[in-house]
Amino acid sequence: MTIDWSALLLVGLVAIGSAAVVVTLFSIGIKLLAVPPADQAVVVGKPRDDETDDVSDPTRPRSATLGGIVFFVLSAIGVLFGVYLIIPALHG
Amino acid sequence: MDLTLIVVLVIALALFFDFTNGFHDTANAMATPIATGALKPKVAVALAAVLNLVGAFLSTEVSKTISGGIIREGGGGVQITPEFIFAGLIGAIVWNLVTWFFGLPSSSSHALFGGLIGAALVGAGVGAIDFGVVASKVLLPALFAPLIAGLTAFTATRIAYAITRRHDGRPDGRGVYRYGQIFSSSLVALAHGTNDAQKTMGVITLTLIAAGMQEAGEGPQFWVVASCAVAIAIGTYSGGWRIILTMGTGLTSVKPAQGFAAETSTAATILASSHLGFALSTTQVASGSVIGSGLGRRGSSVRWATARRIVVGWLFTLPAAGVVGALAAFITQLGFVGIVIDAILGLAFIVAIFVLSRNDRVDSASLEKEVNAAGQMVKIKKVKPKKPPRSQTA
Repeated sequence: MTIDWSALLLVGLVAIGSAAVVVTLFSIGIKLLAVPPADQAVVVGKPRDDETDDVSDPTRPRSATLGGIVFFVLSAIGVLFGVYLIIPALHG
Repeated sequence: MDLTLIVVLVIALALFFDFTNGFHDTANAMATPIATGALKPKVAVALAAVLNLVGAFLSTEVSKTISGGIIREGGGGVQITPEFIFAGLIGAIVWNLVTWFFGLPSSSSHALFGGLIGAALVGAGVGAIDFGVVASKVLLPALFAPLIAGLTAFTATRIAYAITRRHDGRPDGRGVYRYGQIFSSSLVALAHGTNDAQKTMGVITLTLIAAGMQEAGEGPQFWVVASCAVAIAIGTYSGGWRIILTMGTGLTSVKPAQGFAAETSTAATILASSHLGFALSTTQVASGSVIGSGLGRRGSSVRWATARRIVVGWLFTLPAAGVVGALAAFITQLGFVGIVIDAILGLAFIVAIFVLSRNDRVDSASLEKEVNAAGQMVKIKKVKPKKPPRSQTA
């Protein structure tokens, strides 16, 4: 019985690392879309955990919308890299 | 004449195994988007089916040995005959149907290995099996796959909630994760298509070579690739609703952020494992991810009883498929009559389990109802404690 422990460890680290990067990028995108307009920015309350909120706030600063899109695109690049890995014709 | 008949039977069985592989594994990619309502059940399985179909054409690097070295083929070991593959396939199909009936996600590759091992034991004795390889390729990965995927999904879920949590009582926008889920689940479905359809292509190609109908060392012929792709796509589209129910609502109640974290983790773990040389089962990775995402969200709970049932299913997969494969191989030793008996018994079992499953049918409509009911319960629970404090502060 031979277990390639170093390969196993590498798989674990790469899996955690890459999933964390993609989820972080996408989450920052969501966070930016949920940025409040300047006049409502300071509202102190309890931490809010809701699961299916959609934010469509036309008064959100434009920079936040753009930033959100940038982070969604970055996270999509991570997914496209996955497609690249799946298709052998692309990486030989 | 005899040989042609057995080859036709093996191809038919192999394609049916491919079909069961498809509907068994739809859940790996699509259970969480269905559970969160990111995709309607029918749309989800259609998407998965198309991606499996495309995936099957993308890669045809069929491994030389379908058993990955578990069985010592050739000199001193097993003579690969169509009868041997036939018996192994019966074992794999029977076990796939049993686990589907009980709604358990289990590895189709392990079922195939088990069936072939059983057949090899009867045909060539204990010496034909490399038990060291069984341990390092089947048993230990079954332990590590859910651990790695679970840890990955736990971390990813924590990150998702930590970043999007708001302290000002405004909407946090987590509904957007539903769009992310569509992409991460699609990635898992595509990866599945490139991996799993190939196993059946390998089986059919090996049979054709064994029967002298194809040169050794040649890749699968186009009709083999095409028929395998179609079989796995039809299987995926027919949707293993029972297993989707278990994965989507049975282990934990999945929310969009968790679903996105879980499928991203599944895709990351599978791609890392297939490119860094430590093969892990897609099904075991996906189950681990769902559990990990359940542990990662505040206030959610994992139903460990269901998790235990799934793990017990994994432990039984190899030996159970092996026993059936061995019995089938034993009967094939009767010669032509044996193969006919095997075929009739196998067909009777398939029909019986489909008839039995009609008693408590699970389909896309009943699944949608179940998911909605689960969502409603969670919503009521969530809204009640929240509303009063907010109206007081306002």
